[in-house]
Amino acid sequence: MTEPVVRTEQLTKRYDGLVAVRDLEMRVEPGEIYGFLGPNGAGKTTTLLMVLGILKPTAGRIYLWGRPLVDDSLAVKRRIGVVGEHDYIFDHVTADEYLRFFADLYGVANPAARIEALLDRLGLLEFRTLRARDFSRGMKQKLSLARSLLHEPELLLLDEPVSGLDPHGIVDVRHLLLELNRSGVTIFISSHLLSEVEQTAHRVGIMHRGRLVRQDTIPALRGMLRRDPTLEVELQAPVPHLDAQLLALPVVRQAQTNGRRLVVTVAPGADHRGMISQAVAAAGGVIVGMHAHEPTLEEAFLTLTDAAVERWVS
Amino acid sequence: MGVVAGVRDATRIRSAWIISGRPTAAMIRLDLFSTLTALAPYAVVAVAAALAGFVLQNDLHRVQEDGLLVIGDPFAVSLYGGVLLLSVYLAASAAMAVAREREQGTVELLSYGPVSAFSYLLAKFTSHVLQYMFLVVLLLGSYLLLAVATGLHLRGTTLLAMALSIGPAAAAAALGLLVAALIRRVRPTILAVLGLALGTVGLQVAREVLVRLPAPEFHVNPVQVLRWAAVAVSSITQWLLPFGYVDRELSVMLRGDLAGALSVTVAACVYAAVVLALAAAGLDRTGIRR
Amino acid sequence: MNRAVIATLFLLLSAGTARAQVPVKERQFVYGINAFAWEGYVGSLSARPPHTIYVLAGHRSIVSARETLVYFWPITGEYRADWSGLNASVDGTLEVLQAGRAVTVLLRQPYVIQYPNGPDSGLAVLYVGEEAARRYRAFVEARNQYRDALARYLEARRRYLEALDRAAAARQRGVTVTLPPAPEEPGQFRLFSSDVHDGFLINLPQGHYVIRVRGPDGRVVAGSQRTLVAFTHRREAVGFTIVPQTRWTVPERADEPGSTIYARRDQVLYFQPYAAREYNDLAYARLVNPQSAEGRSDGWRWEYSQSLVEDRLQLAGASGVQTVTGRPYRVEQKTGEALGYEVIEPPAGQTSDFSGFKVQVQGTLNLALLDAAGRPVPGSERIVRVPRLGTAWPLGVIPLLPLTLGAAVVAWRREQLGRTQRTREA
Repeated sequence: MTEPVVRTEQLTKRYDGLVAVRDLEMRVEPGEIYGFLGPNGAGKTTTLLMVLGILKPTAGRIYLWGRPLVDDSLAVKRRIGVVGEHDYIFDHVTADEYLRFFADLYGVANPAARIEALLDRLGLLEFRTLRARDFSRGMKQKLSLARSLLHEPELLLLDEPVSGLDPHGIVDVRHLLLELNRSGVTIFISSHLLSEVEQTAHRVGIMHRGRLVRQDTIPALRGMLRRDPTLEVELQAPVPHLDAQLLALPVVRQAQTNGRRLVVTVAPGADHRGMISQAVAAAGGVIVGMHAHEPTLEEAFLTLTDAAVERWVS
Repeated sequence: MGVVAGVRDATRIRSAWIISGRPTAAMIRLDLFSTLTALAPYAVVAVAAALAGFVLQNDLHRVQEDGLLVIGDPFAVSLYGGVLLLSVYLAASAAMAVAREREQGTVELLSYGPVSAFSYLLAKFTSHVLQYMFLVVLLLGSYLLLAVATGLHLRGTTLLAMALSIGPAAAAAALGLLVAALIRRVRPTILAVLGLALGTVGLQVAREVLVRLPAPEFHVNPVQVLRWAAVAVSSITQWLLPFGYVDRELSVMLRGDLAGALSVTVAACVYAAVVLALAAAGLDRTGIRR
Repeated sequence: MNRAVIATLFLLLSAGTARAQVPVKERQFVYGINAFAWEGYVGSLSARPPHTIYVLAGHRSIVSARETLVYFWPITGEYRADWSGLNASVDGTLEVLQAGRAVTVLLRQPYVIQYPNGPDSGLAVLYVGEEAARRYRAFVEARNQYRDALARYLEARRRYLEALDRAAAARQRGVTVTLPPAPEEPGQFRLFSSDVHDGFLINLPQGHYVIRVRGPDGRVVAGSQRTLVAFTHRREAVGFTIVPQTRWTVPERADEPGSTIYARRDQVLYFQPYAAREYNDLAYARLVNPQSAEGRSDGWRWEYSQSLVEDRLQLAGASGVQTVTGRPYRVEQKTGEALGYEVIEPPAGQTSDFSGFKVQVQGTLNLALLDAAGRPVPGSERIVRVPRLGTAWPLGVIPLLPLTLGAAVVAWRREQLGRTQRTREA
């Protein structure tokens, strides 16, 4: 059985009276994209810094590729690429010099070609001789990404990798990450952009108030929320008392109208779209659109974090 | 068996170089480039050279007026001032570099990679020592030009004293790194380093003045008390602070005692090593995050 | 508040000096010291146990055990002895200990210190034991003989002056009278001698010792324990006093063998060599006065002993090597309306003001004192250089060079970045 790339056991970090991370048991499997989610202050960055060895855990252990982090941490870091939370760009160097320095730091073979390829891939080639400090926020983010990829890491740790990017940039980065993942790179993304994580991650871990409340695949998370199916119907014009008429049907659990929008929750097990259509038509309504509503990662996230709050409060 | 062990050792050394040595070398190069492409170090050398020019002009004036000047080394005072100035600059520069980089988050960025607190500080230390060597060469060039312009002789002991001053200067750089490792913010760090430097120099001056004041020993006298206090404190700070090593190394070397000067330089290097280790431990403890 | 602070400070500052009008004298054991110093013997006092005694190692010094009235003199901040009030010798032997073990036990001996060339000449000789008494008797006899000769001379001179008066009167009457020869003044009596006293002859190798007097009753005399430091020189060399012709009353010293002498071109310098030894500053200050508040424990000073002007001075310069002999010189005020003075070799019968080796500076000169065999005396090498005394502007320009270099480097870097900025805009 292959060792996880990242594994934590009872990982805890306390600051004076505050527990930032509590008993974290996380696994990132080789070759997967792992999304690490959580509201502000949940402990995501603290966890990331502990995995990098920058913060010392109060308790627990961290294993990278099956080895404890304390052993040979410098050698292990050579296999990791990191884009951190903030832009830490050297003031006085050009983008090219910046990347050359890091290529030097990691001992990258043929650094010139590697730098050129990365800058080209990220659309920064024409700006390579500009002072890095003068880059826009998005360009700095791309430069940081280029830096993290110089040494062809096996594990990428990304904290808000698309922060500051325009939609084109976001798509570019997404494609790059998927490309890297296909070539075998394990990617750990910490992000607020749930839609982006949903499109890229295989599994996610959700943090709330220092605890990992759930760690699973996205379909499994959605499945967790799947209760009675919901149909969203768009009408040509509002129909009075339509919801009451639909509630009369035995398969309808819930019906709610809001102007021309109708949301109907039906019993599981069968496709009830036909019956609903007939009922709407019988009530004098005209359907212009209908689709089944799938639970989103955002809903799962909100549900889980709210549930965690309830449990915590209780 | 010996060949295998040798190959294993060579592999280990190569591995250590790749893991720790190369990143340190990369940081040294970047640091050196950034400091030597700024104006500050050249300005410090210019001030030291101006000080020397002023002192030498004074000596020439004495020859002109009195017809005669007997002096062991006309560059002794200039050398003392110049080396002290460069050492203080080195300590402050090293401290500021670490404090600023910690505040900006650069240290955290570097620690994402194969960089430990010790290798980071070692790189800072080495780049500053190399910078000092370059500045000493510039200063030496200025002294040579001044010697030619004035006809005042630049002695071999002066050159040796400058060369050996690298030890105490390294100690000064290490102290700057320690202060920055313990104090997180830029301004308090600079103030602490300058305070230590000026305090040491001030204490030394006070000691020299008080020792020269006649004060009978056998009757309680404020001068005697102050003198005792100044001597006691300076005898401690002479060993605890690198500027004492600067003073000792120069005094001994200008007296022509090469063996003594070498031993002071070695002691200063040991001091630097110990303080550097403490700085790394301090940086680990206080954390690299801003 | 401020007034209270000022008053307190005033009290503190005056605490050291405000004493009763009449000093309080206490009968105490003291050591009178005649310590060998190159400029003769230095008399001093070790009035209290903390007053460490310093002597030169390997040279004879005398410490005398005395009892006297000791008082503190606030004006100089020192303890003094009222010898005229009480000056009693203390019986006993002097024990010298080192690291708790007895090194030697000394007996009291009579001693006398004599200055063959007068008390200000510096050269002093210590005689102890039988020889001290004999030398003193010889001094008294020679002094008495000189006094008698002087008395005879004065009487002869009186008669001679009377004869001159009579001869002058006779000449006025037209009578020729033969004058008697003028009496010869007896040669100057230079020998000076102290009285014969008793003390302990100290001649110890370098080190720290403890001394104390053990009385005839076998007990250590109260207050007699002292620390005694026998110290020696760190270096030995030839030191020079340099008299510039233009400022002969303010000579300079070139103590250190490596020191350089900078002089104006055509300046005339007179070099006076001395045998020199380097001593610890504090130890030598305490040698002269155990109560001295001066002197630095980490400082060093050169002490000159005998003059070496009888040797020859070798000068090596651009014009070759030459040898100069030491001569006496006399300073003569210029006559007439001219101001200033000139330094000349004294005519026969006239005294000299100083002696030395005359050196006219014309360029870099390497000096060395030669011994009788013509070899350079170690530690006597000096260099005389002529600095450039022209315009001072290069001294202002040279410091700008590193600044210019820095500005060029910064400009180059900015140009590098600026070029890339322009490339982008293009």
